[in-house]
Amino acid sequence: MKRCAGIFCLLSLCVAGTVHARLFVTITRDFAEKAVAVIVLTGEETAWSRRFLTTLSGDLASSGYLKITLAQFAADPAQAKTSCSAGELFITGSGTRARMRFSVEDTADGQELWAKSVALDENDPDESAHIASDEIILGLTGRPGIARTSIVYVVRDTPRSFRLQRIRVSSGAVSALPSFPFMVSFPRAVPGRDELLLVSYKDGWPRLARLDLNTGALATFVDEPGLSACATVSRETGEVAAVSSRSGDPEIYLFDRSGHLLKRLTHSRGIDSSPSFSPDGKHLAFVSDREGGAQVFVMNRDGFQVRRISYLSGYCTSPVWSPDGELIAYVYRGSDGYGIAVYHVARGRTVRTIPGLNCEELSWAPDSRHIAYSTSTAPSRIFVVDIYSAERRQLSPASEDAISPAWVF
Amino acid sequence: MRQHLRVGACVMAIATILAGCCPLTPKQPPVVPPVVPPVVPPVVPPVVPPAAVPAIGKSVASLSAQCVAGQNPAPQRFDIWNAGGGTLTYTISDNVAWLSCAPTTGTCTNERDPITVTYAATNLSPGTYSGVITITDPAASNSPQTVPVTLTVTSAGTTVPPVGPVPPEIPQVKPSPATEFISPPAELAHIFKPIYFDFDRYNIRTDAAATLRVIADYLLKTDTKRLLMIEGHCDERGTREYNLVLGEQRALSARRYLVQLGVAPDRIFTISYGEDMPADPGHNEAAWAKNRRCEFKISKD
Repeated sequence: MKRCAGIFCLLSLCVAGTVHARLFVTITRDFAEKAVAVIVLTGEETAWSRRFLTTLSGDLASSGYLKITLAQFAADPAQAKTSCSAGELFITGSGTRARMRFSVEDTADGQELWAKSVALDENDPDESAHIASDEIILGLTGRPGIARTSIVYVVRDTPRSFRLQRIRVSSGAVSALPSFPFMVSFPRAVPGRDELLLVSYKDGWPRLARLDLNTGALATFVDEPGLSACATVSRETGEVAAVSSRSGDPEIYLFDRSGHLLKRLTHSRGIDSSPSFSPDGKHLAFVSDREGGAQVFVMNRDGFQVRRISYLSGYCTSPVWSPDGELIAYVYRGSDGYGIAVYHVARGRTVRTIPGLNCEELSWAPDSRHIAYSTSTAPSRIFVVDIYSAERRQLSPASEDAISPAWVF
Repeated sequence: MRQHLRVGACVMAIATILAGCCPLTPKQPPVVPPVVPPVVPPVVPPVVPPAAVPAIGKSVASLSAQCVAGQNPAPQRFDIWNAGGGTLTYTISDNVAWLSCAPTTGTCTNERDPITVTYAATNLSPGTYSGVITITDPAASNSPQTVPVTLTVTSAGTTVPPVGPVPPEIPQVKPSPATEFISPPAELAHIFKPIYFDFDRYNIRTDAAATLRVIADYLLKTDTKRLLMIEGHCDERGTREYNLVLGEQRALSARRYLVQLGVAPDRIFTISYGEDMPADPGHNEAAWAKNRRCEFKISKD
């Protein structure tokens, strides 16, 4: 078995990262199980390196994959390894503030599972730790880490005063984005661009607008009569699917990246809402009350092949397709309030529920493991939950009424 | 995680063996399969698929519209698609002067074509009119298909009870940027009263219908140029994004009802605030019942 593990690792290192990820993710049955790990840094112990080690330990623990039992400095890694119990992962780092080599060893058999030399930010131990953590998680799981990601959300200061903020997931550091004397909500990151699509009441009407994060300029994106909202941007094509009531009925339409209407996708009487693109841009999850109550459906990008996927309760909304394409998370109303349900696309069924979160407005992390959400009673808070362990932590400051999180990556 | 890796190793190893590209025991001599003469498959004549026959699909069985004498009903829309195989090449015609469709020809393979139905009723006297839209494709298995159309023209100045089914869709129009909407003055508050909805519903209740009839009567008889904005609201239950659309649908339901009563659709605009502007900040059923509502604003003189 040990030899097999070694072979697997060697093969894993030889193949492309995406293939590595696919193999690992596909064969792993229970992500809730955490690997116990020890971190050892060699070299001089300084204020920089102490800070680096503390932050790295926190980042790796927050990844959801690892349980860090010890983080220390040691002149002799071999000596330090004796403190590990058999079967634990032994993570070592050595080098300079500008570049370190990290390795992960399985202490059960001494096999090196992964190793890489990583360029760091020598002026910033926290940022360096975030970089190292994301590299280690990517190397071990094939999935991107979240230490360097941010979440954009809306703060309601008064009924007519709204501001956007960006918060670093790892540190909780908050940076201000533009504020507005009118209602804004539901920001969506535009992949590859420093832009957000959001619903703005700037002209008095709820319209989709594009916000340039560099200049703060807000421009109308969909210039159609009636409501336009609930945008989702295809990472593959840049196309936008959104709700418009231009026809006199809320329906889902496809727009190009400039906001020009391309095609109407839904035609049912009643509400069609909350589209979410699959990462390949070929499918959309959405909400419709065509069968009597709000439920989650999936359709092809052309509006055909509609099929219902939610059967948990009489009210299921807010579907979001995971970045790896394998899962669709949605909100369901259970006996103890709103929870998150996770639908497995390939298996064709809901495979996991996290009840009682009092949640809405879901947004996936790039690792397809964590979800940001807002609580549904005012004052609202932003939380991040690990869908496998159900561990959650509050991200937004307690002093804020925070809504509409959007994971930016 | 280590166990995961080991499981991964097993899977990888099995996959490797199955693939045959890298045996785990390379020192063993390869097993040479016995030589078997190749099997020559019998010659099978190619299967000729049946010719793909198109069929006409349409999204409505019938249409109905109504308006006040001297006005036109709002345009309506239905869809045509190919419910069979191949390509549908359709032609649309009608048998009355007050009815027209656009486009009148087209082709469909997998897509749906929207057909806009417009009415020219300004010269019609009060009464009920009937027409038929005919969709033909000589190659289609179910050609022709028809859509009966009923138009009701009512006298101006009368209160119109709802007639026939609600029109499927009444396209929205943009208000002029210069139009300012205000709360109705106190002397009109008894007319423009809020209407209320059941939880997670947007159908017009009986009590709301009575209010809408009063509003329609006022707009049709007393203040015939006034524009109306309908604000849709929800209670705090339900998710915020869905509530934004639900609020819009409530406002659109009220708009549809007013249009059904004869108010021109280009006089009515809708806006949704979802759950974000409650009338009652409470967190109980009494408050929620007040918050599931539509409020009315009118254009400023």
